Amino acid sequence: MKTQNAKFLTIGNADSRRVQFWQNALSQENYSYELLSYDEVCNNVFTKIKNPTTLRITSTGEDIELKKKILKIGGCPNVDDLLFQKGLIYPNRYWYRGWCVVLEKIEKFIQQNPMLHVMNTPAAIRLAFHKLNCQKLLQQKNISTPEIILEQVLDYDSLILKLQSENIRQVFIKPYHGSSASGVMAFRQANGKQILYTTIELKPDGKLFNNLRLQKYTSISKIKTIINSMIPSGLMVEEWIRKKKFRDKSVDLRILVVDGKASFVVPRMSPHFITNLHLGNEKGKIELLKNAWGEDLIKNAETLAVRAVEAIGGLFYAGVDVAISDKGVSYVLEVNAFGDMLLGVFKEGMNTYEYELTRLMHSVRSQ
Amino acid sequence: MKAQLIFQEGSSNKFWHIDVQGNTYTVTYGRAGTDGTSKAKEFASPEVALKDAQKMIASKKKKGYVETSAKAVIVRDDHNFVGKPIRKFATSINPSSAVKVLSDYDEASKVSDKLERLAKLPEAQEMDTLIIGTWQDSHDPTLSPIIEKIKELKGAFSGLKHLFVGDMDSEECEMSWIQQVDYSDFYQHYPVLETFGVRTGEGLKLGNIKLPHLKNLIIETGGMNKSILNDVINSDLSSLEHLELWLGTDDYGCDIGMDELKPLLNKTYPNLKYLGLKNYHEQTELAKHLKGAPILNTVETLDISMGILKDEGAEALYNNDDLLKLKHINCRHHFISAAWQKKLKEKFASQNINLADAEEPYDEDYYYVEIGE
Repeated sequence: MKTQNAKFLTIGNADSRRVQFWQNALSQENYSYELLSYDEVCNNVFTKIKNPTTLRITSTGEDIELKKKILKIGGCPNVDDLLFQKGLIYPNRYWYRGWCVVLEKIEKFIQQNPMLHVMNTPAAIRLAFHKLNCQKLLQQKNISTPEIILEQVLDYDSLILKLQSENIRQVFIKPYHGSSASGVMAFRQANGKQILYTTIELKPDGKLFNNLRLQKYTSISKIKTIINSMIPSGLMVEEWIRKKKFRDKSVDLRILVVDGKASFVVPRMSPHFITNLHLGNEKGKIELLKNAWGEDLIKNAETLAVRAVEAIGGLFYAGVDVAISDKGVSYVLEVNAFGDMLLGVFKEGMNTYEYELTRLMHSVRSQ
Repeated sequence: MKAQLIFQEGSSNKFWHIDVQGNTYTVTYGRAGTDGTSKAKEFASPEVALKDAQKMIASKKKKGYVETSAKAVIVRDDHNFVGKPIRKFATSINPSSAVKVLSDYDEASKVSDKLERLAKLPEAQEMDTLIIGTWQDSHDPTLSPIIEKIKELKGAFSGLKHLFVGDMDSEECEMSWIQQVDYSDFYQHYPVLETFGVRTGEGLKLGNIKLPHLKNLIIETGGMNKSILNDVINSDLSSLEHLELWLGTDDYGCDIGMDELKPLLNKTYPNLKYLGLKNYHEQTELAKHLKGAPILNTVETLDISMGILKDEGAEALYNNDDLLKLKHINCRHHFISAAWQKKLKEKFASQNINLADAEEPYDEDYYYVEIGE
């Protein structure tokens, strides 16, 4: 077998599924590839790139040791004493700081190696990993997003005061950082009553865990504890977009934009407001939605997703979460720089990674 | 031969009827709630007409149409109410639609103001179907002034036959937070109502439902108080065709057990076609108490969907031969094992038993109704 001469470098861990999917796509086409682990990046182990090479930066994944390392780089105290129990919510602000340092190292490496062609740039990834900054940028560029009611929650009491004084009955509270639905809270208050829906589970000892099942809290003291505990890592408050329903289920769309085009659309359906796939919700068929809602609504959502990725810049691919409101208006909920691992969906017979590769070679050729 | 098919998907709600007479057939089709369009076609012989009709039916079914008898007759869903498409009221109305009046969170005008504007339209007299949607996020702090307004406008709404109050979904409001009112003295203002429905969290009082023409009664809750059930049982509802009660769970105030339900099961309504006891945490127990229940004498559709129905309940259904005379059984959203589902499907094939949405308990022993809020 003849190895094609294009070269690929992936930053990521060998046991990460995302890395494996990408390497599979490459080997099917007989491209040669190399892997640079995050350990090497953290230790500043880089080699000089002599030939044109496409760089893909992947997620750091679930590796506990790497998580600890990034937390440590971010200045998190007593990292070694932190118990990494499954699902425990750890201090995200330190992780984000550490992640920015790692991205800076990669950025420097890219600057020193002009032969590198970068799929998703560190700057774009950094922005996508900061939900507040990302949503603010999108708003500045006139991309439809839910209105930001509060950029920063200072404490529970001032949040309640704000909502009561403006008669706002329901909002989404989102951590600045955190993947997918982790830490997202749907909050309602009226007439002295409160309800919080979230995947955060408050254990009797006060520790917070991610739970796959949506939790519902009506005890004001518990709600206060959860919100106050999440504040140090940054919480923003957004308008609650009432999602359009399909067969009694709330729907949002994960739209994978590749090379400036909406290439895969996966509807995510849930009996609840939090429609993330990781919560065991259903994957829907886009054709059914198009039939029920009309092509235009879906097309508008796709156009919005493409515009959002363009506005950020530096993203060859990105998974954009778009909600369509009950009034038919599309909103960008979030942009995921690593949002291309969509399993079981195909375009022209290709999975997301294979399709990205095809588009990539096409755009390289046409340059 | 006759066949009646319907198509309900998203916002589309259509019917398609075919009637074969000798060597011709007539197809009537259109949007639900309209008379539709009729077309006749003639064939060389009755056999050819029949064969072609059957081909047409098969092709309709392929497109998602179902026979009306194979599906629970739906009085209310997201898009339709009493067979009419729901249309939000803004400035004008179409009297052949179900008119929905609501005040959204970003709107300045109250539901009661909108009702007044609606009453001034000349078509208001012809309007027979009214739905009250969300007022929770609006400037109407409670429902009382809205109900008072509807009473006050009875002259303008003299054609009103179908009313639903509290049409809002979980994205709009927690069901348990919907504050309802006491309807005891409401009925006298609209004695000709044929449909009355409410969605409620707290505050609902029905009293004696003095509606001699009432065909459809729908009460949706996450937890029904027994005083509501007793008011239903003690009211004279001899015209009732569709009785739908969402009983809910004890977490949200359901205090109804078999002792409370038995008096209902022992009643008979001469015209009752549909019995829905839904969203109920004691669905398994209920299934055991259906055997020989007089209320089922006239019923065609039994709907025990959305609840906690386990294998024991499935077994009770399986051993209840009375259910074989039903046209449809709906058990959607249940906790029945695959083995029992298979048995039920075999036994109640002619009933087209609905066993969709098989649920798994969380943490192995936490069972839940569909709408627990």
